[in-house]
Amino acid sequence: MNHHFTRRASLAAIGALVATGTRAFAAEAAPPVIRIGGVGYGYGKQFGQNAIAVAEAQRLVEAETKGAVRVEYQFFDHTGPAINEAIAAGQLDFASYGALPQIIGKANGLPTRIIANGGVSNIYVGVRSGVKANTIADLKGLRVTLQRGTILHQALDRLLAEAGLSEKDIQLYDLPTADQLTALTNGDADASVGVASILTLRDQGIVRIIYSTVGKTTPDGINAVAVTEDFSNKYPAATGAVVRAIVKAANWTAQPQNRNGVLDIWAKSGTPRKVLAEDLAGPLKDTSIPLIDELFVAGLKVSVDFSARNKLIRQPFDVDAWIDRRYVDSALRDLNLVSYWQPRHAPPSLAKQ
Amino acid sequence: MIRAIPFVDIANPPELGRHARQRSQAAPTRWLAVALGAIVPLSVLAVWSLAVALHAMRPQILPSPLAVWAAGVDMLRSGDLASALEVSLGRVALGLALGSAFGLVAGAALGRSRTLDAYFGPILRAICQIPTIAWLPVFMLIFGIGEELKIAIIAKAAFLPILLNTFAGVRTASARYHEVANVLEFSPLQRLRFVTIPSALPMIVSGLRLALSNAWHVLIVVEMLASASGIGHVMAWSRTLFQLDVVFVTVVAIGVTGWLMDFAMRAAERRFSPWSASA
Repeated sequence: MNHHFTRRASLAAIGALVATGTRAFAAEAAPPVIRIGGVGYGYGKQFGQNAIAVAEAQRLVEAETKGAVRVEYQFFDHTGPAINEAIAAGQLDFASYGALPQIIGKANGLPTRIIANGGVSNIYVGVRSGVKANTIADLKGLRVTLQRGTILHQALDRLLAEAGLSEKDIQLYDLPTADQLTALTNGDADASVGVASILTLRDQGIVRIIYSTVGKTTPDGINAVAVTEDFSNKYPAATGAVVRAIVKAANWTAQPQNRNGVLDIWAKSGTPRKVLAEDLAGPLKDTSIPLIDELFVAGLKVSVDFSARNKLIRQPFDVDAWIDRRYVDSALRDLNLVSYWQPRHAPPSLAKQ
Repeated sequence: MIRAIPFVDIANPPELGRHARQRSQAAPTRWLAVALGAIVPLSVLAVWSLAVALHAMRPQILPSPLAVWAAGVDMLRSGDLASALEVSLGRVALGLALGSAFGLVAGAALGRSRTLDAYFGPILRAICQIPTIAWLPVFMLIFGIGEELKIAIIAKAAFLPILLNTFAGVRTASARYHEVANVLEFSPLQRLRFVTIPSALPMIVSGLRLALSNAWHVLIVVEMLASASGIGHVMAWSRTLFQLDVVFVTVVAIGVTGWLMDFAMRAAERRFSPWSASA
């Protein structure tokens, strides 16, 4: 009861503080450190490929908190589960990662709130050279490799359903990314679902790309930015500052003239610049989008439904209650970006969700 | 012909004395041994319960012992645990059988022939130094990602201890025992029956015990990395699903199964030592 009371009280406090914007930052005690996590890429040291990585490179969170707070970034090798564990162990305050592991974390009681869209990852389906398959429907009976429990797994599930198939019609091999490469090269797998790194395999002649989400309006590849309830309850102004930095970073990333700068930051991971350039060939505004809009929310709901159906989570939960859009809304107002991104509508097939 | 057996006993008086003493003390101290062995696990359980009671860590990352117990009971009832262990133990059995067969033949051959040892000894000893899991990418290229890969990795892990112990068993037997065999004018078959096998068998069984332990370790890793079944897969998948209670159940199941196998192998080791078996 007491706990509920303090939560309500602090929610009211957040409202008040967020409304007053930057000036409020001085009013609350500053956190000793802000720890931000994200999905990493690379060999050895991990680097991010999203707005968080841009915020890190340009020290945007430091700028928003007037340099009063130490900011630490940590990128985890491809993996959502490790980020869930880091949050549970109290080692992260914010994290930007795939919707699916976030949902798995939330369903198991991880105290997070979704405070921004983390941008869209393009998803590709590659077929081993020599395999006669040109559409998703052709995957029937083939050996498909991917990492289960990821946004890639969910994307495949939706694509198969669209083609009138299900997971039972293919042979699914759950392999880490590096081993997928071996399996494809070896002829042990016929197809793989992946992010941009699969383009490297195409350049090496190992796979052909038969499908990608580039330029399509799909609920696939959703990333989200989460904050721990502990942090946002205690430091609402600092939370607002971090979200402003993320929106700034997303805005900078989305501008065509910054394309080279974005590539400079994202290519630190070791992903070939050429591959990243191709992945980002479409309008950057479409993938670097912080808005919590209809498509984003519908996508999260599709993910929850997928997770419950595939027993990744024991029970579905209320997505709307998980989302806290006040921070991103006020950041857009504070930065005069309210009309920069157009809110995306969910396609009719998802609207019923 | 029977004289060969007492000879072996006499050759190892310290061993005889040690084993005899152990056995005579075994009965009255068995319960004490169980009690002493339980102290550390029970302390860990107490610290664990205390950490949970004090909310030292979130329940998502450190589930309570009761939650783990409930998950374990649930997995036992549903048969999930049994079917995962069945798959894993089947792989270990097959891999161990293959690895031991090759290890036995290779170890005996190298032990008997100094020429073979000169050719293959150095490279085999060099291979010994490379952890089995480091071979995974190479094995994947050769065996693919199916069942053969897991069996091959387990066989490789089991092969080396058997090879080395068989080699050592066969080699160390030779010096004095073979002189006696020469004096007694043993036929090659008699030599095998009364000298080589009795003196090498304890080493081979020790090798088998080590091989089983190695096989169990690598199996879990292989199942975590490249598998859709078995107890290692259940562990890795539960981690993905952020169900740490299930992860803890698999940790306990892997530990207990490994311990039981080692317990059985230790009993076999004692059983197959000729001096203790004949006593």
